[in-house]
Amino acid sequence: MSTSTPDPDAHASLREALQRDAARVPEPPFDAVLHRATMRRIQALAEAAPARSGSPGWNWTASLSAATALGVICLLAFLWLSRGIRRNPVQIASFAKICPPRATVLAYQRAMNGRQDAFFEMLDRDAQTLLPPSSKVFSNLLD
Amino acid sequence: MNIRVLVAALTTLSLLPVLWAEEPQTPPINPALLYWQAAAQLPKLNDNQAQELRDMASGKLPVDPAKVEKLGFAPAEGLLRKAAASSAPCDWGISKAEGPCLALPHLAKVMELARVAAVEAEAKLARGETEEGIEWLLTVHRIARHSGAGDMLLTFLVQSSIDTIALKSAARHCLAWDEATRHGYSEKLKSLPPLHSLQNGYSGELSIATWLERQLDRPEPERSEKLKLFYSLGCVPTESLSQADAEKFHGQFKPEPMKKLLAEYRGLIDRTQRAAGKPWKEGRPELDALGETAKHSEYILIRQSYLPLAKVYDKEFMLVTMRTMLDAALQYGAQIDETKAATYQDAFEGKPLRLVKSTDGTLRLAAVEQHPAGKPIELKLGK
Repeated sequence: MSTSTPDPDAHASLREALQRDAARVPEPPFDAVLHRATMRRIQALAEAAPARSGSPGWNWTASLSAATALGVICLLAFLWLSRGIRRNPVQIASFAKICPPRATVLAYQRAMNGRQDAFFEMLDRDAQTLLPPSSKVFSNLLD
Repeated sequence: MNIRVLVAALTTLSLLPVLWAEEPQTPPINPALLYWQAAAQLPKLNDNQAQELRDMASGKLPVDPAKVEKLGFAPAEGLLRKAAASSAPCDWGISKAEGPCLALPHLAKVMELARVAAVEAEAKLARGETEEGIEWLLTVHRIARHSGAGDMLLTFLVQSSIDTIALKSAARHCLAWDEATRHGYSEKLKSLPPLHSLQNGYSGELSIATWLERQLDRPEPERSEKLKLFYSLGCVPTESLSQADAEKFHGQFKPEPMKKLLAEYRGLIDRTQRAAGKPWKEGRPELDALGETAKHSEYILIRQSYLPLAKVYDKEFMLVTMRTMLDAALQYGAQIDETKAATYQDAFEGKPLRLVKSTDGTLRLAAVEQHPAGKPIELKLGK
């Protein structure tokens, strides 16, 4: 592993040019009022930062109240939903729909309940996709 | 010396049964297995080719023999002819005990194979190879009979559809055949085994009732889980139920209501099956009445899953009528006229057939009545 040492004189010409330009900018006279006001704002920011960032300023009372309120809302929602389900048997009976396995009596009969043509259309689709000749089970290693 | 002769004679006699014994015969191969092998040899068709195959088999598209050759059915054809010619029982391995989830993957494949045979027949007939074309037509008729094995409503429908393809194809060509060819084909048709009947096919509907009965013997919660899965698979469109019906439906999971439901369901299927074996005039009103009974059953499962048989029943009589029409065409060929056509009757009400001449010169044999109304029963003769 090799490391490269930075060359302090690599950007010397650029640094000198920037310093020359900076020297040309006129410096305003010292403003004591502005200085004090800036320092007060910096101190105020330094005091507020720990309270936002962690435990020293954690407001337990407010958090507990919020959690309790959230819990009550969840409980009410659960009770309302379960009451709705009990009063509406349609929802009990409406099981999640599952597609019947392909090429089964059920799949074909479901298709046929609409019209017989739908059953034959399903057969046509299945003919192309069920165990196609390209399926591995039909591969002949000696070919 | 005498002893030696005696020993030799006895040895010869003892070996005689062995010498007379027939050579061991190979048991006949189940044609279903040959069909599967033929299906494995079929080329993979793209959607357009598959549609073309369907259209050529049904006569919608004229058959181009060169195009058919390019599709590459040749490797499958030998096995297909061998399977169709087999007189061994065709066993597709249908295990009805599996109930609603019984897999019938052969139906799609056999339908495709039948279309391949029909297209081969068309291609041969287009080339003027009439004898070979007729052999392929007979192959389609035989495939139809094999597809009906298993006695289920679905197998009956596939059988009817395949046999219709062959009947229509023969009708398109038979006016161009000489008398000996027509009569020879007619004789071969008569020697084929009968088609599987709708009455037998409907017996397969009991398999779902039997499967449901078996679920009652399962311990809880396995029983409820199985039944819930059964309903979830879409046997009953529960989302369309009213609140009152949904409450009843939920109650059907319990063993006692389920037993009553199954008793009613079995009774309905039994009566439907008996009606399906009756002549049309007698059976049709009975099937209509049974459809109404099922529609007003107190059991939602029966209301939703009983398949009204009236239309399928009509289809069986339509197929018999079309076969009669082909018999008439094979008997008289291009010499058929209205008087000769009227000596043949439809299978519905026994009314005489009509010969209809279109303005473009094509001939059609037609039944007087339409079943169902608006759908003429006819067979187009010639191209």
